[in-house]
Parts: sequence; C-alpha cells; structure tokens
Amino acid sequence: MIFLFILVFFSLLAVEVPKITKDQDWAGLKVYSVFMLLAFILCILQLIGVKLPSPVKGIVFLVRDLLHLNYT
Amino acid sequence: VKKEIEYISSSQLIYLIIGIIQGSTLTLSFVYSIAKQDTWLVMIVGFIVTMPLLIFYVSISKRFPGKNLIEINEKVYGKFLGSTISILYIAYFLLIVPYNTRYMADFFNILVFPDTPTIVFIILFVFICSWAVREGIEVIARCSPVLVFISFVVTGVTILLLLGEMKLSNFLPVLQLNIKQFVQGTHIMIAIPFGEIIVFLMINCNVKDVDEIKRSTIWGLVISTLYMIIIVIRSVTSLGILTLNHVSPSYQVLQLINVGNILTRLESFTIIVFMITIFIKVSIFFYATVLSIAELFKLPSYKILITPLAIIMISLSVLISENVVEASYVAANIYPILVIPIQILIPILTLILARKEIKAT
Repeated sequence: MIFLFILVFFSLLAVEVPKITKDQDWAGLKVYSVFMLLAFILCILQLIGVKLPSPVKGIVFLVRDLLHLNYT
Repeated sequence: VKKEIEYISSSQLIYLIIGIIQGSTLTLSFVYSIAKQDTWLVMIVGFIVTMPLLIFYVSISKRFPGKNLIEINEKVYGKFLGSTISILYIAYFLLIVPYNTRYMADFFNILVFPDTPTIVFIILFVFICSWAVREGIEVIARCSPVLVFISFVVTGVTILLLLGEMKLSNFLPVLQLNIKQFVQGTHIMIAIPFGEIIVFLMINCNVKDVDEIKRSTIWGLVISTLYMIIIVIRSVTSLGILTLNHVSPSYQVLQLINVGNILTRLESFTIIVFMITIFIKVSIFFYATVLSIAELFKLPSYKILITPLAIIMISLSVLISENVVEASYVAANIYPILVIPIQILIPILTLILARKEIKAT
C-alpha cells in the first residue's frame, strides 16, 4: 500500500513539475512543493498507522471546553 | 496577477446556488432529531433570518466588482490583517470539503456497499471533483442546470408515487418546540445550508452582469428553500415520527414506494440525487479553496494547486471524524457556533469598513 502510494505520488510529480517549470512559474513551484510535502507527510503517517488527531477535535475543544458556547 | 477570466451567466448562478443548498438537504438529516415534525417551521424562520445576511454578501460583491473575497479582505483590512482573515476563510472552505466527502462516503458505506472500505468512495469522489475544478468554474456552472434538473425530476416523481403513503396528521402536534430547540434548529439552518452562500463571494466576480447578482442569489435561495421544504414535507408526512431514527430519511422514504409490486426499491434514485448534489457542493467549495490559496500567494494560476490539495482532502476526509454519530454531534452543536464570525460578523464588519473608506475618500 505504501509502495503503491509512493508510486502514484511520484508519477504525479513527474507529470506536473515539468509543466510548472516550463511556464517558469517559480512562486507557483514553491507553493506547490510546500503543499505536496504536506500531503505526502499526512498520507505517509496515516499509511504507517500513526493515529493523527482530527482537526475537528481541536475545534470541539475550542468551542465547547474553552469558550463554553455549544448547544446541549 | 494574470487571471484566467471565466464568465458565468446570472442564470447559471441561480443553478449553482440551488445545487449548493440541495447538497446540504440530505446531509441535514440530524435536524429532524432536534426540530422533529416542526422542521419546516425552522426552515422558514432560517430563510427569513438569512435574507438580510444575503443582502450583506451581495452588497459586498457589488461594492467590489471583479474582486473575490481574498482581494476584498486585503483591500479592506490591509495586508497583514487581511491575510489573517483570508486564512480563516481558507480553513473554513477546507473544513467543508472533507466533511461532505466523508458524509457521502459514510452514506454509501452504511446503506449501499457495507463491505467496501470508505476510502474507496473518498478517493473516487475527490478525483471526480478535482477533475471538475481543473476544468474551471465555467464547466461546473454549465453542468449544474442539468444536475439540478435531475434532482428536481426525481423529487417530483417520487412525491407523486408517495401520495398514497402521506398522512398530514404526522405534522401534529404543531409548534411543540421549546425555545432552545427552536433557536438551535434555526441556527443550524442558517449555518449549514444558507450561510454557505458566502462561498459565492469567491465566484460572484466571474458573473457577467454585476447588477443581476442580487436577483439571482435571492431567486436561488427562494427556489432551494421551497425544494428543502418539499423534501421535509415528503419525509415527515410519509415516515412520521420514524424520521428521527434514520440515517437518511430521504432514503428510507423511497423504500416505501410500492406500485403494484412492480415499481419497488426506488431508493437508488436517492443515491443518484445525493451524488450529484454533493458533487456540485464539493466542487464549488474545492474550487473556492484552491482559488483562495492561489490568490493569497498571488499565483498566476490556481490549477497547479489542485493535485496537492486533492491529496490533502483525501487524507483529511479519513481523519475528520470517526463515525456518523460524531460528525452529526459536531455539526449540530459545535459547528453553528464556530461559523458565526465567518458567516456573520466578518462580512458585516467588511461592509461597514468599506462604506467608511468610500466616505473618507
């Protein structure tokens, strides 16, 4: 599964990066690589079985436990 | 910043708004457990409260023609504060896409394909949506009338077939809500289907005729509210108090149809409607996310960000909630409070500041 993901990921990179460099869009390449790195880290962590906290848990903590503003 | 200029007509805007609110209709089944048989009342009150809000949104986009939300934020609040507020909006758009994707996948997993892992639906769905976003808003806008029309036809036909099952007495007793249920139900209606129209601040700059935006938005809201009320009437009159117990009342309703033992098991039509309406909603929000990130970093094209964002969306959809119960709890109790600043306070503040600025100059 991890191997499959890495294969798909790098084939996506191989298709998309030449397109961006051809347009000489260097700012775009920077943002693209930051988000791609983020996506890679998120997926790999999930694939090797790390239990990542859900962002919604943080929101629930903020609204319910910190601000005490929820219904019920 | 060079932009790909895509134009949508004002009638396509109506269909986009109907599509986005229809997409919320089926995910809103948890409202039935709060407002019970008076859901229709909560909907109407929510609609009335949303109207002034809608006027605010429309006047913002009228005051800054050809500018989207991120540009407006930067112009009104300055560079630093504007970017902070823009990041807030990006986070909001980014939250809605995985939430709806996950809801769709859970729906399939629970009711249709119990043995297939959820991730399969998530990957396929995000792939289709990112494809639509890659083609641009013009394509999404052009396909929306067809998709909206399909769901109207399905709803109309099923209502005709269900006429025998409907009992108006299921609405009784009317007005048995206490004040907390009423406020919560109305607030959910404002936050989830109607308040999401704020995403059109990213799209209104593509509408050809700026003066038509107000009319189209109001018409879209009116038609989609009528549609939602019809759906609620269909569910409540045919299922009665059982509406509260189902994951998706619209799905259960169609199981009741039995015309001479020939026309049965029509619930697959709900699945079609569900797919296409969620598709419009997720595509629009995905488009808004990608466009606003590109606009924040001043990129010439948003299209390069689609692939990384799609992978992040898939990953977040898996993370975002453990099950439907948790998702419904958050959507019913936490989410309406969370989006008050995003949907109500910041737009009003933007409008006030924009007015002052124009007076000062």
